[in-house]
Amino acid sequence: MVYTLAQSIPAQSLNQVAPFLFFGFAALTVVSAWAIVLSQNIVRMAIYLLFTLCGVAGLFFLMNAEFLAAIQLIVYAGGTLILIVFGVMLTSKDPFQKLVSPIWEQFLGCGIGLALLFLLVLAMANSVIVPHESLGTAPEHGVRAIGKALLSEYIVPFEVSAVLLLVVMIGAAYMARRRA
Amino acid sequence: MSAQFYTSVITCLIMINVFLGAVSYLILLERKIASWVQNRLGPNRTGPMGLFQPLADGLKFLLKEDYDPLGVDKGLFRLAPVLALVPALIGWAILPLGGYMTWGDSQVLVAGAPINIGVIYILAVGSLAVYGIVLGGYASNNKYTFLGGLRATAQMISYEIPLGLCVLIIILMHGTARADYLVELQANGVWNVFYQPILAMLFFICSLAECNRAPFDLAECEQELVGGFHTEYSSMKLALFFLGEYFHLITSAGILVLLFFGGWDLPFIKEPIIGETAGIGWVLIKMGAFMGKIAVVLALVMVIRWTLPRLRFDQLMKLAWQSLIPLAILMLLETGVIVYLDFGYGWLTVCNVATAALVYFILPYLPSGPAINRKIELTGSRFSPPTEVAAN
Repeated sequence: MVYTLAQSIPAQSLNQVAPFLFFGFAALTVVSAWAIVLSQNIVRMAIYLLFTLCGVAGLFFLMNAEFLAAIQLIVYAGGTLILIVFGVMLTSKDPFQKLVSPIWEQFLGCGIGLALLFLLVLAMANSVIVPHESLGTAPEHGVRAIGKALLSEYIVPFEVSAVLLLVVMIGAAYMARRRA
Repeated sequence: MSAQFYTSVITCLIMINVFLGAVSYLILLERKIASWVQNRLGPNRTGPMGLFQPLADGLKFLLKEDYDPLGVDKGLFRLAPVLALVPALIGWAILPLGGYMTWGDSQVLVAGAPINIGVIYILAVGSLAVYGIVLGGYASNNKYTFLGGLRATAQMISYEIPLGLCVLIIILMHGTARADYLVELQANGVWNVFYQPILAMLFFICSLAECNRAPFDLAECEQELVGGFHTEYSSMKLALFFLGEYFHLITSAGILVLLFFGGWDLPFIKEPIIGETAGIGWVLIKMGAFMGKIAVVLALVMVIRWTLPRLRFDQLMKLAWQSLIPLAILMLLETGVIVYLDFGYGWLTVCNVATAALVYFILPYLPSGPAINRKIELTGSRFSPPTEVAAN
């Protein structure tokens, strides 16, 4: 299945290097995701999360979805920084404190993870993976297409998320206000 | 494999070496400029005019003991210099250094990666650049380094916003984010700096802050934080931090040149019509033009470092959130209106002048609220005893 995915990567541009890059980025993503679960130090977890997100961005780059990759890096990988700051400043008094979850939380996490994995495998088994050659290259103006889609077809979710962000901003300003 | 792929690989291989050499000599240039500003001689013992000083420095970095202090988080401590260097190393990949070239029967762009998103990639990579500093500060397990890392975080998060707005305005003006198209549009018209002078200044200030350069180098503020985030680092790890800093500087200067100063374009000297003649000679000339412009910007940055005092942290935040971001949003609004109404770009210059007039001549005379950072009365300190104690 993984090899089929690797086959679906743009063949015209990088036909020999792409599979290696795909396996590299995929390994980075999976191994770091595994390491997030196994790690006990909150800052290390955040760094592994950063590597996972960078690996996913690399996969996006390989699929010619450059804009998506850049946004992935800006929004998620850049945002992990805040996670580190919160992780350091809000959770631990000892700088290298270990986080150990109780046993029932570990079982709960395993259960939820397995359920999601089952769902994913089910979806992948039922989907048809199209080789990239038949799709052609990404359109020249992918950004323009995304912008048009956001402001026409998906205007309602777009505006709703904008209002949500506005609410969050007002809430943050309210909480951080100077008390008289 | 296309001709573009080979061109990219060759460009990367050459430019990495050129930039690595340039970085070591930038450090010498920085010391020379510092001595010039401070009326000293500067390094002049190693070789003629101190020209071999970078070699001596490099050798010293290599031969020093690579030491991990007790109590550091070893993995992250070793990872941090790498994370400081890598984003800076891959950032310049989109700079269209040498313009177009004819290779066989196809036209190729002499650049690391001619990708469609172009300048957005810069923002993406730039958002990763701070991790090295934050991790170095955290993993050293030292309060001073940690404070340096946290300062860097707040600074990056704040200055990324006006930086992104500047890039957004340029994309809005030209309708493309590809670096080579941006340069071509400026080469066939007028450099962006004449349309958007205020924006160029905003971008320059923000990239200084993003590079952690003076007057924004609070992360390594010597008077308060010893050496800042790299206090505990020694040997090659420290050298990697320096490499990352200077590489970042080169990349930022390159992006400034790309967005506002016409990239490879030389004023009044135009390439002959593209045909058989677009060969390696013109590529070298264009590369020289690009590098020369970058060198001028770098020299300006260095003079600024030894001229301006460092900002205080609250001044830093105030500058970003109360000045740069509102100004950038105002410019975005003006540019959007002019682009939508399809006026000539000359009106952008008029708008810039009007904005400058507004900022300099009208805003200072408007009534403003009380100062945010007013002095808080300290009661209970040595110099002002609390009132009840005084009553006793």
